[in-house]
Amino acid sequence: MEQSNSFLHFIIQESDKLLNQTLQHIGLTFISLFIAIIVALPLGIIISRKVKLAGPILGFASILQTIPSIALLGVMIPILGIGAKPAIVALFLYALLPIIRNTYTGITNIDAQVLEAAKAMGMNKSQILIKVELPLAFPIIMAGIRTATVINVGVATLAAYIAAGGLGEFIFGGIALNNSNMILAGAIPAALLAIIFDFLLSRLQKINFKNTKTYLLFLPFLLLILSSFYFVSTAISGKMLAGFTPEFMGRQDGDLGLRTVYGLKIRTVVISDAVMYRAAFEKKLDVISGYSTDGRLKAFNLITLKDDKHIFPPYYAAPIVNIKTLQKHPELEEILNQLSGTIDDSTMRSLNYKVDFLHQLPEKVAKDFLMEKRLYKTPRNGKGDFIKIGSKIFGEQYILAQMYKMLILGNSNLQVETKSGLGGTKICFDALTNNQIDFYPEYTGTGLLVILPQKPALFAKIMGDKEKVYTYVQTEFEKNYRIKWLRPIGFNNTYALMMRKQQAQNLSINSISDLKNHLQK
Amino acid sequence: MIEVKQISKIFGKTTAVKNLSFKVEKGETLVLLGTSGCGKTTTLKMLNLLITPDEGSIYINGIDNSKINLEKLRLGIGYVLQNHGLFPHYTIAQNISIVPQLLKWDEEKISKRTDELLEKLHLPNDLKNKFPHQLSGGQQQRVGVARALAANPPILLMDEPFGALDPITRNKIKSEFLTLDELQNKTIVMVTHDVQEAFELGNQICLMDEGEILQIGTPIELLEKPKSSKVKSFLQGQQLQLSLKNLSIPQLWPQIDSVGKPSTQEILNANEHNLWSVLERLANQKQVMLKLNNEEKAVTSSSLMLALEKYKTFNNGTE
Repeated sequence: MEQSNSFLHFIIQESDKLLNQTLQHIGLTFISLFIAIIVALPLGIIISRKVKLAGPILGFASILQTIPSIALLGVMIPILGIGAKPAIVALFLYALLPIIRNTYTGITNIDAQVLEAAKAMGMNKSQILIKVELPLAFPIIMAGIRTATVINVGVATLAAYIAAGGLGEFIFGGIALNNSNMILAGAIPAALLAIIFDFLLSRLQKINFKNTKTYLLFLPFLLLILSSFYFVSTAISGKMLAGFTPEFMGRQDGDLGLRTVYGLKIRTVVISDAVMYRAAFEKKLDVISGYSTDGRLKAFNLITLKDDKHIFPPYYAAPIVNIKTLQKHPELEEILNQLSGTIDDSTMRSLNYKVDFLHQLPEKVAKDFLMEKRLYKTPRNGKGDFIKIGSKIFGEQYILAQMYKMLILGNSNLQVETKSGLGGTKICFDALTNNQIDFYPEYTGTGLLVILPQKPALFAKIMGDKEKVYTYVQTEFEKNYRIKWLRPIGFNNTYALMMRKQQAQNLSINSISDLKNHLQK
Repeated sequence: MIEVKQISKIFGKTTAVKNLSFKVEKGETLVLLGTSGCGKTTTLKMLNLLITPDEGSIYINGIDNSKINLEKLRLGIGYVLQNHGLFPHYTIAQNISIVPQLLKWDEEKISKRTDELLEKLHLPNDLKNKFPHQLSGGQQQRVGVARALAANPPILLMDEPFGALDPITRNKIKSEFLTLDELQNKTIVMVTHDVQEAFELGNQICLMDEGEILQIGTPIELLEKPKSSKVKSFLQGQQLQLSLKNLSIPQLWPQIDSVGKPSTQEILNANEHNLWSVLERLANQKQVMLKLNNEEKAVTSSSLMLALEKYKTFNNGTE
């Protein structure tokens, strides 16, 4: 009961967005469908005449159908950028197969005697096509169009990943935020659209039309009206365009905070983080949300804006070590702290860049860095105890784990075993408390928000201050888990707003407040 | 008038039609008769160029058919198919008016013509707005004939027109077909594998085998003077039925004895009947009245068979 109440509440609260997304969704579906019909219908007719072409053309359309939607959208980005264009092209490609195949099947399955009669009575080819073949194949062609429509309504949800809007914005936002009301607010209308359009088209399919001409005019007209919904919905303009991930859109330390704390008003589209950085680089977007040490910042020449009102919690990285291990090997603390203060955000970014973009091995990147900082020492090949280092499953953590390994081997007689790729936070932390590993690099924000019990009132107070957060997690971890936070490494891998370096410099925007002021001018 | 001069057609490695020639005069019905695969349907379809001959030429009313615009040629030739080939998405009236529409007749003329044809082919007028699938097989085939006749073409091609019907319906439609005034003065070419049908409907019969003509001639010629043993064996077994059909009642009249009492039931004009057709009537009723030159005779099937016996004996005796 409470669930359904809160769902209704959500719908009412977000009704503007919902309407807008629904219109976008209908528009995307039917623009692509319209183009698909214009292309696929003649193709189907051609291959019914030249059967030799049927194999290759149907084969090609089938291959298009097997490409995963996300991959197809990804392929579109470099060619068509982000927004409606690539989404429409992708949907168009998906709609081709059912329409071509059904047109072909519909025409080739017509009773041979009927066609012979038509020919023998003196009809020419175009008369046979218009008066006999198309009307007789019509129900089957319509069935293909129905299939294509339902496919398109489904796939159009993915348009939200490339800033083309649609009901996917709610669906993926809801998934990222674990908000079932939001998921349902997108999923239910999408399902309803599929059912309604399928039903309406099935009615259309059954109409026995005597006057072919009016019918042929009516259908494209209807499609055009439905297509235009997209333009109704996107008739919003603004100075700059922001692209935020679905998750960022719904978080307090995200879009909500930007609006309430900074009063930032910017035209926003929802986009997947897989394509967001490139889209900003290609000037399709002006502002994006991302992680401050992401190697792509460097790859695409982006800069982060200063969070001068501290809505993004600090995520300073530091090794966290089991206190038992420290008691056994007190020299370890000194060794691990050697890294402290050596890596700032931009250093970490370029290290990540080397691993993620230049595809260098984390070992090599770690060694090069330590050599440069004169921290590297030849391994002593000692025969002491084994120290087990853990890491989560992404590049930054691999690099840090390798650095610590080299520091330990060079500065002590201990031996090292790395257990890299331990998945997410939970797996790493459990391994640490169960003595399966001795330490791993963790982030203060994660410690605060994911591991420690939730105390929203307290968190809100300390969130803006990195020192306070560090002190808090340090004390609490030691007390609760017998785990010690060593000194922070230096960088802060947190949410950040990003812009192209060039544009930010031209407009002298350094912080989010600068951005807000610029937009209000 | 149709004249076919030495046409041949080869499909891949098989020769479907070999060096075929024949002539059909105006008002005549030529039946292409033979087993399946003998090339009769290929021959028919070459007449309206549904199939193009590899060699030879075909003259329609004296003009080489390959020199006429294809659509124009076909608009002037009615075509009846075995499985009617009606447009399933057209009503009966629309089906019948296809060719007149293509010829751009005005609506009034088309609708008048449609009504006329429905009546002549014994189709109830309320079928007009129904669709082909709502009709019986016999009705569908009648509509097929009406459609072919709609624009009153001088030539009619029929491909096994009654082949898909059950025997009772087939005989009924055939007898209607024989009396259809629309068919007078038309040049008709018909394909069948049914010997009886060929003898019933054809003025000329062209018996074909493996793409060649075995014999071409009137039914009587084929019966009496078979050119080869192949022709003879093909027609064998049908002899009695054929002779029944080829004997008219007036021929047999002297041998017929009136049996029983004259009754008030319908009286058949003897000039319009042969022995077979009267025998068919008698399958359903005990006796019928025949009338020839003001003379009336009541007959039963046994009295007619008796008359046949007498006739045969009489003729054999005079030979």
